[in-house]
Amino acid sequence: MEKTSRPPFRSTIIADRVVALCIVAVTAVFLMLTFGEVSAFARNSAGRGPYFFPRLVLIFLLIAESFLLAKVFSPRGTVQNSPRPTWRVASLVLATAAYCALIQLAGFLIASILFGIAVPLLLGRRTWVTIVTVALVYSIAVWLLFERVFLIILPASPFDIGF
Amino acid sequence: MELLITAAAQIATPLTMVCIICGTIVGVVVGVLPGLGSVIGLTMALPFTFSLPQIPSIALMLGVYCGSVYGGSITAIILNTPGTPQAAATALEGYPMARRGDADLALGWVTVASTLGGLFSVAIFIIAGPSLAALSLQFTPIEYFALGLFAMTCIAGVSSGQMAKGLVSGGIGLMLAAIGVDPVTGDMRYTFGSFQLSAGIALIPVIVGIFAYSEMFLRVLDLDGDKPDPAEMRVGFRVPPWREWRIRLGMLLRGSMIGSFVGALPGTGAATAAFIAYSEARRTSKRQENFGKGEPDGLVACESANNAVTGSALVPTLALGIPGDPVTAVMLGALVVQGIAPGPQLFANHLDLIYAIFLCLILVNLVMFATGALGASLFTRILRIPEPILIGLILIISTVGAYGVNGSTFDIWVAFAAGVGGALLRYLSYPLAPIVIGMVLGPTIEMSLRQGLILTDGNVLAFLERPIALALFAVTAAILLWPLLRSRLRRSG
Amino acid sequence: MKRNAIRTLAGVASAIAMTVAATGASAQSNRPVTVVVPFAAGGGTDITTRAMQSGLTDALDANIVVKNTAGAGGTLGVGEVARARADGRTLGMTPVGPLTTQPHLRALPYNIDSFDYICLAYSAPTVIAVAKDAPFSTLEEMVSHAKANPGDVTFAVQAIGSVPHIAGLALAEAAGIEMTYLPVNGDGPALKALLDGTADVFIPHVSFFSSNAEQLKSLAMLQSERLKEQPDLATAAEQGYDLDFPIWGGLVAPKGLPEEDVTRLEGACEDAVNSAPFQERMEAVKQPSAYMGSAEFTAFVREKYETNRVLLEKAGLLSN
Repeated sequence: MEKTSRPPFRSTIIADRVVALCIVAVTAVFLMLTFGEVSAFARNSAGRGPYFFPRLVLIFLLIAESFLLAKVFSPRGTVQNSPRPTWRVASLVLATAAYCALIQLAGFLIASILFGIAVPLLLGRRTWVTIVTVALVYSIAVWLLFERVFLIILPASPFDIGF
Repeated sequence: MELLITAAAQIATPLTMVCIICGTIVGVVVGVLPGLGSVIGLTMALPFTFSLPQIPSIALMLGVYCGSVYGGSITAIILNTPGTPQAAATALEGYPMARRGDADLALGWVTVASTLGGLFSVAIFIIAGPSLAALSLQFTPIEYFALGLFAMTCIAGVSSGQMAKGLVSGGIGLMLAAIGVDPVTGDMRYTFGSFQLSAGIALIPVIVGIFAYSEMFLRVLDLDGDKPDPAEMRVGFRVPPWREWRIRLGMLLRGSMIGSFVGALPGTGAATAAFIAYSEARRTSKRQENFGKGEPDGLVACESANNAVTGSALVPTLALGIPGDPVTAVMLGALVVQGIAPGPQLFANHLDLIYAIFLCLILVNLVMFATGALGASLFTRILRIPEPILIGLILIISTVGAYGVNGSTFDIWVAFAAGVGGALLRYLSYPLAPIVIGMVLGPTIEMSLRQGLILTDGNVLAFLERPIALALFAVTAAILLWPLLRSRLRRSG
Repeated sequence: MKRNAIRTLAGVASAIAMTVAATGASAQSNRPVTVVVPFAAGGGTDITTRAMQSGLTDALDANIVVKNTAGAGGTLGVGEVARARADGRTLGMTPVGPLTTQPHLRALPYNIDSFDYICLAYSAPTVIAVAKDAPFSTLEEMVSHAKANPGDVTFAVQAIGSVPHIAGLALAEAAGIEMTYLPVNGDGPALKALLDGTADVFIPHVSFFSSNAEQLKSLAMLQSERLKEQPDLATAAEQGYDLDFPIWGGLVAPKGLPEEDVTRLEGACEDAVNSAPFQERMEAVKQPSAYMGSAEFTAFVREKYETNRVLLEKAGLLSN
């Protein structure tokens, strides 16, 4: 990775700051939650309550985050060498989300074949025969390996056909 | 000596040999598949152990165990996706090495280091077994707490240049581990009414998410970038020359020792050992500036360490009946069914069995080397698959891995969420290994701290009255303060 | 050349697809039956279930897949069974805790009416265990020591709300003693706490006690009568404390299974429990055998559910 260092994109710097602020906000909310109600048993039992340790961690986190904020809001930022974000990434993320949902709806095998075909197409490859063949062979092989060899029963489709 | 020969005769049966070979190969395969790991591999072997005689069933389990610890590293190198948590540190150096086209060399380093680390711990197992067991009893919750804090300093070692972000990642890991039922009082923490979350967030789906998913998502950005042509990726297996090894024997020895020591403490495990060894290597290496770019020092250290855990983790399991992690717990369960009662007498009166385990472990490590060497050409060829196709295939197998650990569709979503979050953090140069360190160590640190406070009636200062703990606290403080001190000295000098 | 390769691949793929479809179709009638174990592999419940696996496979003429869904004190796996389709293909090996104590401790997505009870497959007493070199050898010695030094005896608790925990609370109440409760993560860590001196006493299952008998001694077995497999273990009843805390578990199915399926599964369970391999394995792990049919098991669960509620209420652990 000996690329020449170049300044990060403006959008990346903004994203870095937004993410850092989000992390701080979540930390603050979680810290607030540690002062919530605990069970009667926890109040009566020996030792510290359930939120004792998370509170320590969160206070430590806030200290670390103050350094983080100082860094990300410094003029130079903290991000190095990140490539320009593209819509392709977003489409792959969405496709993966759809795949995860489809596994529950249509079973592992059907979902995987479709996903295996969809991803290369999304990423700009158009060698249809290869793509379909690979998706089919691979999905079936993985299914057989898990379902029949490892005996890890994968989600099945609602069609009652065995996969 | 006589016992050793009897033991050799016992394991020199065709059935035992088949068990060793099959067990090791199956172990490597489950290790390679992201998500599946040692526990799944061993549960697959369980039904077979019920119908096999004692020695072959032990051989089978040892094969699966050692093979899976090694197998995880292969995926870490080839895909930047540790196949098992134990291999998370391996990706830090292995993947950059593979990325520049030297995957065959990286596998060579890893395979040799794993085998030697494994053999080292076998020697420890047979020579120092009982005393190591006695040592592990010196570690009460207070010492565990001190050790856990010490191990957390590894975060510094894996997040150079991005210390603030590394610390935040580590904190995120600790908090992820805190979600779910509080182990001490049974209260629900941060579950927001979700029943699924009451069991907490499992480590494996998170690892699959932050490594495999996020790597695949971000690879898309690189698709048209300049990188070695897939056709130029070297395939096969290349053992580094002796002159390269000679300068790294110290690393190898230190890694093996760290692994053997950490392995003997129940409740720590190979992932912790690998991270400690890695950051130790980084701290002491003469080639420090190469770290993160594919420096063999780091590979040798963490691979010898995580494989050295295998032999010594058997010590408390067999000599005390205390399995250190879910992996050895499964093995112990199966051994008890085989009529083996763990305890000190096992090392005292059943040396034939101990010798048989010893010889099996040696053979397993040798078979592991052969499997790695022969399988390397297959694994490295993965790199020649065109990326648009490969990305889909890896996402599929990772998803099955995330699902397979607990057979739960909830875990698929955990992996996906961790993938999106991980991709974002990785894009913004957050080191991700500290998340794993935090998740692995969080439960140990919390439990030992709260147990310690119960034992000392809430007196934190009493923690310092115990010599081992005090020494560990001192080392931790020294490691944390040393960089500050050094820069101060430089400035004044 | 390339085209040929692709054609071959396509051929192979379709062949595999057809085989899969064929096996799928033929396996219609006896597709695998999943038995959910709500604890991790290698533990007592898991080993017992896996020991039954071959017996159940024979009796049901279907592959039995053991699936470990551990977490949240076993409630996660039991909840999974409750949610499953009531078609006889998902069963649960459900131990006492998630069924009769956890529902009293917190809101769960199931209750004791969520299941059809098929059979009780194992039941064994618990034992009050101390390290071999402990200063007391009988329950009375421990009780008098604890009375003289309140809080000095440390009791390692494997899991909050578990049977050993309740048993310890009941002992403390019956004897009028005060102990320090040290939470640990299961039997292994509890044993470690005893050996390294951080805890003095814990309450394991008799089979765990027996396989570690070299390093432990029993103060009292928590059952009304001595065990015929291990007659030398004194009971708490003999020492004046009426404590009876067995750890048991059995097969359950999601509610709504047809009557004939329950009967069929009950028969298969009985065959499996009585099969020679199962008995041998239970003997190897020193677990006494036990069996109850569907009707008896249902009544048993309901009775235990009530008694445990009373115990938890006394201990101040009840959530509502």
